[in-house]
Amino acid sequence: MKTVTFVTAVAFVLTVAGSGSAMAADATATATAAVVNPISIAKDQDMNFGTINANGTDGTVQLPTSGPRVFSPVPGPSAGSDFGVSPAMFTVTGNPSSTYSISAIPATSLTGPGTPMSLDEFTTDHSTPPPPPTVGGGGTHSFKVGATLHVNAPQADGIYTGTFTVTVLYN
Amino acid sequence: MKTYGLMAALAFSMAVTCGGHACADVSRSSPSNRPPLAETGFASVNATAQATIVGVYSIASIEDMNFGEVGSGGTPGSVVLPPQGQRSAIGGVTLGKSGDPSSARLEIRGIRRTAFSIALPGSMYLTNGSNSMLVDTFTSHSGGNGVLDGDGETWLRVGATLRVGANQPPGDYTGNFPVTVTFN
Repeated sequence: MKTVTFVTAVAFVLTVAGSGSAMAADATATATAAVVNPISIAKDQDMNFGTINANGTDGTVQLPTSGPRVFSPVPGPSAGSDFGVSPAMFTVTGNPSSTYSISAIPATSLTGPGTPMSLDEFTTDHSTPPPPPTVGGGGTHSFKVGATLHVNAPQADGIYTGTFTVTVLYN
Repeated sequence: MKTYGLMAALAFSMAVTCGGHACADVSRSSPSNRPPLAETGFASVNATAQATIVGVYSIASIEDMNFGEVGSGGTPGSVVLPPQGQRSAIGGVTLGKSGDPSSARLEIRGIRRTAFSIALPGSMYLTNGSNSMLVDTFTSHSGGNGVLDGDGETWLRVGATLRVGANQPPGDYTGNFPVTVTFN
């Protein structure tokens, strides 16, 4: 009698390769990005303190973002004509619903016929925190800037001007 | 005895992935943990500030000179209005009760404790239509000079003498006179 024996041998060797093994390959990829809605700022109105009676005394004139000028001390520099008095005004354009901050504005000075007058303590009608001003639905947002002017004794008559820089940045 | 080997070939395919998306296609999407590039950046703008300074020194009229009610008769006369005190009449004039007589009062402002000198006119005329009366002998209460106080202020009173003609036509006579203050 014959006996047939089947011997079955099955052998699998299966290696599953994960990432970074024998499948690795070199490639050069180019990354590009289109920057849309970068933040920008435009000036709508310069700052103007109007006419000030120096009155021969040291003092300050505060120009708020809204309301009349505030003179100190009394007696001291006082209000002349308020023709032209205005805080500075700006409009920011950027991503709707993004928030942004206004950087602290560095002090500067106004120069003219006499001693330079310091201009500092800038204020805005949108302060941080909270909440930082939001670029509104139309992608624009406006704010005003006031400041304090330091009048010397004496302060020669005439027109004094200066420049200040306003910086905004996304949060 | 025969031995049979059995071998099966398994055919399969496997896709290579990098974190869930195609490795070689970086431009199509950005990983969620990197902020969108549009959200970066800042911007600056310059603005001008301006102020107009006036009136370091100023002189303002607070009260006008007023000789009040004066009666004129057949002879000429004068009304003396001192810087401080009551009017007096000389010659053919009478002093009426009404009319609120007063010397002129001025306010002077400037840098504190500054000395100044005062210049007054020699004479001028008050007029009513074609009629006029001379005013002269202007005097100030402090003589020809003064000094501002610690607040940079002071006041000044100025009087004068009104020359009334004989039978001076009735009416309101007015005029302006200059006061010049020179600061040292």
